[in-house]
Amino acid sequence: MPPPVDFMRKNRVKLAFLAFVIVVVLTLTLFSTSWSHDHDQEEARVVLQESLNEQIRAANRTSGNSTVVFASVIFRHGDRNPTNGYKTDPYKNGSEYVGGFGALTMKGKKRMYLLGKYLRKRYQSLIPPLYQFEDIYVLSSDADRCIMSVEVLLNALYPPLPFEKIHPSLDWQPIPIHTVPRDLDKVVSAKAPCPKYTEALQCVYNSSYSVKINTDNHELLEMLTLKSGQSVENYAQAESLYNTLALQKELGLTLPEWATDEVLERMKQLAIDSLAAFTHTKFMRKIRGGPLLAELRDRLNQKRAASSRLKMLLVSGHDLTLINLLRTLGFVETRWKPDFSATLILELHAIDQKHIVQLWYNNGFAKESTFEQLQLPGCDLDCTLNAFLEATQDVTPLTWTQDCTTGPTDPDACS
Amino acid sequence: MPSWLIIVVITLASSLAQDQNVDDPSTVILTNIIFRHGDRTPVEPYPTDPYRNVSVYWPEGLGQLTDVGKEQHFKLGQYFRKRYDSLLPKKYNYNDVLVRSTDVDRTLMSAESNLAGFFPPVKPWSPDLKWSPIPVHTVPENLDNLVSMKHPCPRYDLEFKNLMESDFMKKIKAQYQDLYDYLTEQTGKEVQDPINVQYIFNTLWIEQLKNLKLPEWTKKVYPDRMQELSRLSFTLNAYTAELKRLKGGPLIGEIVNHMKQKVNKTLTPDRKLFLYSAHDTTVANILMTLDLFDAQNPPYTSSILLELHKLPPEKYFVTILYKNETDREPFKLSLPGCAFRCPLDDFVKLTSPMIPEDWNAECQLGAEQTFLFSDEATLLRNLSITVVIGSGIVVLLLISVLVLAVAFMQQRSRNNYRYSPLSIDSFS
Repeated sequence: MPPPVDFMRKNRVKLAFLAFVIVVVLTLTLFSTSWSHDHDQEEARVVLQESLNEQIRAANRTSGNSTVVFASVIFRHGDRNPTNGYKTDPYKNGSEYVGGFGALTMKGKKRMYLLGKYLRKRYQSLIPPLYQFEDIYVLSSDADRCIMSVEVLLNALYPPLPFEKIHPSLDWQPIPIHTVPRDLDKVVSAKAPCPKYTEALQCVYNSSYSVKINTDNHELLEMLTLKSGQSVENYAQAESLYNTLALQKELGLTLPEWATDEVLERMKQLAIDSLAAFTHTKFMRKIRGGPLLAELRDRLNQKRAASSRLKMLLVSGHDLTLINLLRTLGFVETRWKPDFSATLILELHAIDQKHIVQLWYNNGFAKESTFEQLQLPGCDLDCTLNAFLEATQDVTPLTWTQDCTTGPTDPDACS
Repeated sequence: MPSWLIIVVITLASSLAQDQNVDDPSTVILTNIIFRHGDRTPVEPYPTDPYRNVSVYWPEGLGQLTDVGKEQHFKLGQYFRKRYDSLLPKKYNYNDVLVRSTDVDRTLMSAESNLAGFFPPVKPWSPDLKWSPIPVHTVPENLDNLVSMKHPCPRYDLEFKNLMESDFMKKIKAQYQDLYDYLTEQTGKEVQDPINVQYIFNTLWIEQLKNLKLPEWTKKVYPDRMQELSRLSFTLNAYTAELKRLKGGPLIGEIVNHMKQKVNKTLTPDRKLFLYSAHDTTVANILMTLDLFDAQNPPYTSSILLELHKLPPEKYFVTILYKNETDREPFKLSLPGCAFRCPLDDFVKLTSPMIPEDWNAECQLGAEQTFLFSDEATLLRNLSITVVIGSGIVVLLLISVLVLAVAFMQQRSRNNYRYSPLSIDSFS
């Protein structure tokens, strides 16, 4: 057998040719497989994109039939811990409160989640399951518990669709929530400073109306002052104490002996008076409930003029947000005491070429909750948009800042 | 050997022994993070843009955070969790954390996504949900001088107008006039300054990122020439000392206050993390104000970390980090005049000229301003040869300083930074 070197030298040309052929064949094979691979991938990508597009299209469709074209949903945050203690409070160091004073509780989160689920069902025909920024605008009071409440509600209203998921195991997606610092907030928390309003409120507290309530409850207030170790001289102070006691009871904490059910019920009535006192006069309603009402009226007008694609406005606020608005709308006879997650819905319907406003209320959301329809004073149950706008015209503030500073003193507050 | 000399030697030796350049998060007692939102759609396509049809090309809407952007921030949040695991308990508590965002959908959503990665629930409130609500606070843009920096400020507007009409900007305009004309003609949008160019640049950049083929006309100017101006545009808002003070000053002031209050135990609640969700302009303005800007478009999720460290028993120092790339550790920045590990007292001293004592008052066009102008008027009336020579010298000096500064900046960006906004790879 010849040595391999000799063999290679003799068959140089043949070997070179063989090598060349092998290289060409290999290259071609590689190229063709990679090409078909690319091609397959490309095809797969197209198919995937198509199915994704189909999913998006499907998610962007609403289902069911309804005449509602716009809904404003205004609600109180979910259950929270007490915001403060009182002097002889056995729980005043707050160690019993998971998350701290004023924090949204687990129960509160679950309630908001239920409300979100309910809204998804109620408005399946209005807003598609796919989140789109033009469909919904979310306003919240700047309080942590309000922001957190609406965050949870939104998680139930807009659970992420498979292709919207940030992370496979994360059943949540971000949705923007707009807030305004408390001292600038006229609309939701309604705490923006207003000197003329403060003056009026002070006058209400000193008026014969208030004096009568305080006198009628004289003995109760004296007892509360004695037992709580702090001054409880009027219904406003009684409200603050009531909130703490009622929430402690709700949390399953044992209350001091003097805080009997009967005492709590009487305190609750004072709390209701106190909540209403903030909007005692027409001027006060215009200042504290008017800005939110104006916001709603603007949205309704835009909707009628078809200049807005917005379908839902969410407002995450406090008990006073609801009471101020309800009283400004004209519901001044009702003794409002909204529970956590209490909700007012203002719906705009398009029926037979006509725009109708409906009001729906729920005093605190639970699993099988339903809403009852409210009839706007001076209007039909199905109130035409024109009638609604007309009825609410004169409590809509046009010159809020002026009214608060240089305007006349409220004539009704002191009587 | 005299005793003072011994002290000096010891101090020198100990300072040498301490590595001034270590980034160690375990000593952090307070961190302030300013970040840009994640991947978004264009804010405003130009009039002749072939991809103007919003529902076809930008289904999320204009200027909205995309799914990619949400994921970017979720991951950044996970990175923060890792970095600050010893500083922050796993469970969110409002006494530890304050989150502030500009009042824009994409920054609000970025903050929320970031927090979902930063604070996944320890004990989920719903059995199969790996998310729990955390409040994000905001302020309407026209009232926000801190993060969006859009609160009106007449003095700032005047200073900015002066800058735009300065010789420097006139020179830029002369140099790029052909580009402005070309862009105006091609885009159907009036282009006259670097900021206009930046807007179009940004739209083109996003379209390229989304694999949309750019029109033929862009080849001549995109990216190179447009990028030069886009970069310049990010320096303009805080170009002069006065602009820095009025633009970046309030936020730097707030952060320095957090640090001072932390040390003298007056921070209430005694927080450990302040998170600011913002824009490329916010990031650029803060870096400009601190004299640390590399004149590069701040990419999505780029973050400035201003950390306060405590070494036992009572030694405090500040470090500044800039995380402008997803997959690598942040860059260490040193405030000019200080080491990377900058003693808190020095940091406070060095930043104090940047911080307005009363922003609202300084924003007014007050008496001081009028006086300055009337003074100038007198000078103009009494034009003398001395003034001409004097100003000539000043201009020469300014130009040489500018040349040096630009050279220095370029060198620094070469040495210190690795960030190429045009490389698609780093984002895919």
